[in-house]
Amino acid sequence: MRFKIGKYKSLLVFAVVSLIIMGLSYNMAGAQDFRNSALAYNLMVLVPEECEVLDTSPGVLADVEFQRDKFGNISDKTNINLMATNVYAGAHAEFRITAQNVSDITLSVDEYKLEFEQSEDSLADLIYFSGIVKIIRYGEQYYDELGSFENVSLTELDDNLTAILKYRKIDLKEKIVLELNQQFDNDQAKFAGRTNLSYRLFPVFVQYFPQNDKTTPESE
Amino acid sequence: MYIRTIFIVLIVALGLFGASYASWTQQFNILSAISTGSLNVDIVDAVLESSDSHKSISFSAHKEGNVVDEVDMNVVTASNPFSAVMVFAVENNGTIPVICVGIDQSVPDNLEVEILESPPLIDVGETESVKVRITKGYCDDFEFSAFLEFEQYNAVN
Repeated sequence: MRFKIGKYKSLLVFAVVSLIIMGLSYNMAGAQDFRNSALAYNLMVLVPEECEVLDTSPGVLADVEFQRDKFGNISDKTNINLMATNVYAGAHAEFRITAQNVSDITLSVDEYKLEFEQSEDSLADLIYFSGIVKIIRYGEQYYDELGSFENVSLTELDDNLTAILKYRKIDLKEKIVLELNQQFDNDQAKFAGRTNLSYRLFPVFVQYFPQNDKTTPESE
Repeated sequence: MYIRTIFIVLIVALGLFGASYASWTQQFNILSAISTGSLNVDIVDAVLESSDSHKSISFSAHKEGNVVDEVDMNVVTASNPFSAVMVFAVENNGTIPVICVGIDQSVPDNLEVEILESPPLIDVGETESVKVRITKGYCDDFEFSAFLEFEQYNAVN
C-alpha cells in the first residue's frame, strides 16, 4: 500500500503553516499577557500584607520579598521570594503565602509546576515540605481547609499542590492561603558539601469551568 | 476553492484558539532561595579555675589575634595524679547555633581529659564557658593537644 505525497502535498503545507501560525499566535498572546500581568491585568495576585514568615528554627533567617520599584513600592504582585538562610540539619522555616482572585471571573488551578537545579551541592533531597491549603471566602474571617500534605519531597511538591487545588473553584475576591513548612533532614552528615537550593514553584490559573456532574436520566 | 476556504478558516480559528488560551491563563512565581549557615567557633580565653595542691603553678594562654593558640601550665606538685580544672571562653563566630559535643579522645592514655560543664547552646555571636578537667600522673615536660568538638545545634534534638 503506497501513498503518493503529491496528492496530499497541499494538505501537508496547510497543516504545517497552520501549526506555525498557531504557535506564533500563542507565543505572542502569552507575551502580551505577561506584559499586562506585570502592569495592570491579573487574574490572581499575591496579597503582600498576608504573606509572611510564620516560624523558624533558632538562628534561621527567613523573609518574604517582593519586587519593588525605586520608591520601595511593590511593583509586581505575581512574584514572591521565600528566603531562608543559615539553615542546618533539623531546621525549618514556615511561610504563609496568600493570593487573591482579583479578576471578574471564577478561576481554578490548572496545575502547579516546579523547576529546580539538581547539582552536587544542592539541598534538594534534604528538604521536606508540609503544608495546608485554605480558602477564605470574600468578606469572611473564617476559612475552609482544602487539603494538607506532610513530609513530601521537593519533587513531589507540585503534584501534591495540584491534587489539592485542581478543579477547586476560586470565586471572585476569594483568597487562597498556602502555609508551607520547609523542613530539613535531621542527619547532619548528609549536609556535608551541601550549601544551597533554589526552586521555582508556579501555579497556573485558568478560568473555572464547572464539571457537569448531572447524570442524564436513562431513557426507558 | 471550498477546501482552500475551509483551510483558511481553520488556520484563523486555531490561531485564535491559541491566543485566547494564552490570554485566559496566568501564572505567578513562588521562588525560594535557601542556603546553609557556617560553623566557626573560636576559643578566645582560657583560665585556670582550680587544681590539686601544689608547690608552684603558673598558667598562661597564648593568643594569636583574639584566638587562644596554646596554653602553658607549669606545675610543681607532689599530687599524683594531679588534676586541674580550666575554663575556656568559647565564642560562636559562625552563623548557626552550636553545641559542644565532647573533647577529642586521641590524647595519650595516661592523661584524662573530660568536660565538666558546657552550655546547652551557644547562640550566634555569644561567648560561653566550657569547663574542662585534666588529670595526669607523674610527668616532666609533657605536651599534648586536645580538641573541643562542636557541632551545629540540632533543632530537633
